Amino acid sequence: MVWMPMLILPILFTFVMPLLVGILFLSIPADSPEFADMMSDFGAMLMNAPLNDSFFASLTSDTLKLLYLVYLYMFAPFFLMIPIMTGSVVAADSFAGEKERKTLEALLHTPLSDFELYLAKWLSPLIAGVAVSLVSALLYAIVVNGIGLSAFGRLIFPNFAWIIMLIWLVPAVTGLSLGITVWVSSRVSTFLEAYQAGAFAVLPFVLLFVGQMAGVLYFDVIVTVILGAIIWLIDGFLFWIGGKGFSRGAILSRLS
Amino acid sequence: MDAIITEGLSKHFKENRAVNELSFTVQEGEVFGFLGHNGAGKTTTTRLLNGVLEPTNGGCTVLGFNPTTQGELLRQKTGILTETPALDERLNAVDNLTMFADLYGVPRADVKKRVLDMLGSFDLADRATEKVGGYSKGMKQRLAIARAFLHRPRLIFLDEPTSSLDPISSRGVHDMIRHISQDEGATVFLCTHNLTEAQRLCHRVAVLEKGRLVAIGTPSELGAQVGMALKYHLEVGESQIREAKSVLDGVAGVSELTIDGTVLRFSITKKDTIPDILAMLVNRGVRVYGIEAGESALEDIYFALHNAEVNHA
Repeated sequence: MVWMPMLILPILFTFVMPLLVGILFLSIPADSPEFADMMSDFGAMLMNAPLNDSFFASLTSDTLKLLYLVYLYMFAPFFLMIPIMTGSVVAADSFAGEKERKTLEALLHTPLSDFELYLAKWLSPLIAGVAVSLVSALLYAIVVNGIGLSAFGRLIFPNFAWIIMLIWLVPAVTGLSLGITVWVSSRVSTFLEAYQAGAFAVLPFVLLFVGQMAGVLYFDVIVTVILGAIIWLIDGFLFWIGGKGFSRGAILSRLS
Repeated sequence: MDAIITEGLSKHFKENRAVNELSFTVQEGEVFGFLGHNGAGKTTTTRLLNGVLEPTNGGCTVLGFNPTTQGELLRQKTGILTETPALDERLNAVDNLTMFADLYGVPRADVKKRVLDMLGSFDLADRATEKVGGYSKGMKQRLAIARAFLHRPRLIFLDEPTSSLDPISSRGVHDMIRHISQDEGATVFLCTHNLTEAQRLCHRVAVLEKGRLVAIGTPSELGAQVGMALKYHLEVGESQIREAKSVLDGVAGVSELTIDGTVLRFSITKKDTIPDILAMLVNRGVRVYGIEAGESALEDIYFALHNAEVNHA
């Protein structure tokens, strides 16, 4: 059931959660005690909101401001968990999973070079991670714009930061999770161990989420570009260090 | 031409000398048996010869390539059946073979036909589109062997090819091994515990003990090496069994001669005696219906070598 996390997570983060949030926000009256509670929870985020977003600045209702912030900013770190999880699932399956299923040895005896094998182990999770993210973005666009069109009177998704995120940051974070997973996969024997290690790549984005909730940091274009550049550098390092220790001889010795 | 030449080939894993100073040659088109108990170093040797492990000392040339530096080129011309079938059980048989046909560079236009032909040859055509996870152990083994033959390798490594097969499937695999050796000229490197199989199929065998080569040669050469007789069964017409016995009584080197119905059982020290015996029988007008090596011959040799090693240690 390797594909289950690849299916459940995107549906949860790009369909179920945004739909529930939209329905909840729009159904709570602005003068109700529940609304006051909600404002206290999100107060810091609202107070330090990015005013350079002209559409956000033009909004007058606190409900709409909050809904806009949640859809365009708060969901971004959640969304990034999709390529992270997809990348680590496919990468864990492609190495530790093959070891577990005992299919690896036949592959190591093929004419493929060590580098070709290593590259293939990187490319398949990378392509899967980016593809699942793009499909998820489409689903998210339908939900957010479906609700957004009635609430804001216009399409709000994607903004420029999201476009940059999809083409720059998503492949980078997929690379981060699979880099960790591939590196760990060659040292552990089960799919689960490798997959769990890859999930560590989620941690920086949990911090980002907390940062946004506290109103300290927002997922705007500059943050996305800088974060992407840092992660690409880490990816390059992980690719290099993983490739250095990658040899079929070493893998076979560990299989024996 | 030699398909395999090894000189002092060794592989050590820390203190463990998995393969120790192996020197032997295997000729092209030969079926070469590699005998040894579990942990003797058979699999490690196969991995060294196919260029997936690097030797600690010594070296080898396989099909004219150095496996350490030309592994990719070499592996285009070799096929392998590993200890476990190593099939992707989530895929069906066609997809399993198609994937490996691509990896081994089988021309795209030939892949479909080649895959279906192999599935037909190994009696898997009617279950070709079922997931391999639902196959029996024997079916998986047959599919893995089909995969090893798929790209028509010049050298094929078979690690216990009939270990989980029923007698009919085993015979099919034996026929296939003879076919690729005799008709296609491919070399077969057969790692096996099955001494009967080795005796039936192999031109020569090597016996491995704790990574060291303790004997190499034809079964009769090995028998001579340990001073052991080779057993044979000769079938003749019922009315001629006494006549045949009297012929064999007069042949030097024949011993343990007994009659069992229409079969004469006897032992010899040299395989070369067999053509002489047959010629003498024909000259005396004895009709020979069959002759085959006794099944225990190689087994006896193997255990004699093994015991000699144990006593030596």
